[in-house]
Amino acid sequence: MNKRSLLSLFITFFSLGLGTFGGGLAMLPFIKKQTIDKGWINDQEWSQFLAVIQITPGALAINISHLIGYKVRGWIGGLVSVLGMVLPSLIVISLFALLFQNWLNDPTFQSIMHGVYLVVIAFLIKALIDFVRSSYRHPIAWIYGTLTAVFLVVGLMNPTLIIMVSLVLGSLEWWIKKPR
Amino acid sequence: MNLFLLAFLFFIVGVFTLGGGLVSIALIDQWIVQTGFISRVLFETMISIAESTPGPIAINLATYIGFNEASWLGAILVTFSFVLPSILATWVIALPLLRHAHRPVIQSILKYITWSVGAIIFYAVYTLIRSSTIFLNLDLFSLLFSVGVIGLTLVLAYRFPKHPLWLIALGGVIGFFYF
Repeated sequence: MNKRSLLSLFITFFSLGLGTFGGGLAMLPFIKKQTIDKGWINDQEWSQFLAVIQITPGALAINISHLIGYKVRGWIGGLVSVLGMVLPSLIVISLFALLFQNWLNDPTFQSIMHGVYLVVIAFLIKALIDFVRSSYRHPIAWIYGTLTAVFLVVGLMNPTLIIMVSLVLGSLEWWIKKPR
Repeated sequence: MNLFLLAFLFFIVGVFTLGGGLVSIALIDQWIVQTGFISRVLFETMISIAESTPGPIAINLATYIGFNEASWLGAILVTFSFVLPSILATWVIALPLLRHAHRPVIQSILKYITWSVGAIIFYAVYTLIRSSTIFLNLDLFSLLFSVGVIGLTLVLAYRFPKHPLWLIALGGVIGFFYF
């Protein structure tokens, strides 16, 4: 099979979608390894993609699959990769909902899910720690991150507004530092 | 008719999901749980299931809520309503940006945005924990026990990063025997 064929894109993202647990943030390292090993992108492109998907609406795993697919085979490659990423969820979750619908109100099932929910919260905290550790390399990042987090928690700002402010601050910093 | 409203709401959630699927949990909470589409208890079960099954959590939630509303048709319609804005946004935002990614101004902007995404993820996790019903009606010991389980899982998750499924199973066992 041609390593850059549409089928290869579909199968790669389908198996990533089927085989990785814990949500988008947890999936990213696996997507990175697979696609770099296959020679579809290099390290520098990965970092650029990772930065750009932060300001692109939607799930991280979907958006990065789209960009990688686009890079390999143009817009159709992008769509095929997104489809590959979405289909496993669609099938697995629908089957789950179909088979376990009657369990939802069962007290034993709810007890089990109560325990699972605690583990899920731990995973989400881990995803947060991992993200901060890999992207907060500068003291200013900590100051900026803490301030915006406080504004969000007390309700002075919302996520969309914070992205706007970042746009302005980023442009401003560039403009001030710009050699004239 | 409800199905189309639900699909539309998920389209809106897709548009405002900046910083990844975790953020969409807070948005789904706001627009789909608080508007009465699904109950909070069911929502929390769905989050647990969405995290214990493969795939991006936001997609899993969209599929689950869609299936819950109108079976397979609902699952497909709601999932693709959520994905559609992100496909369009890749074309009109991400790809043009990538063409200019080498420019210092874009790099400076992306740096600040990445930092703010850290805060946004923090906020998403915070909101999720604060609005959880599982911490309500617990006595002090159970509350401490829950926090202990979260802490223990966190340590184990760093110790054994390749085996998230075992930790989920462990959580299930603890839930079965304790709660």
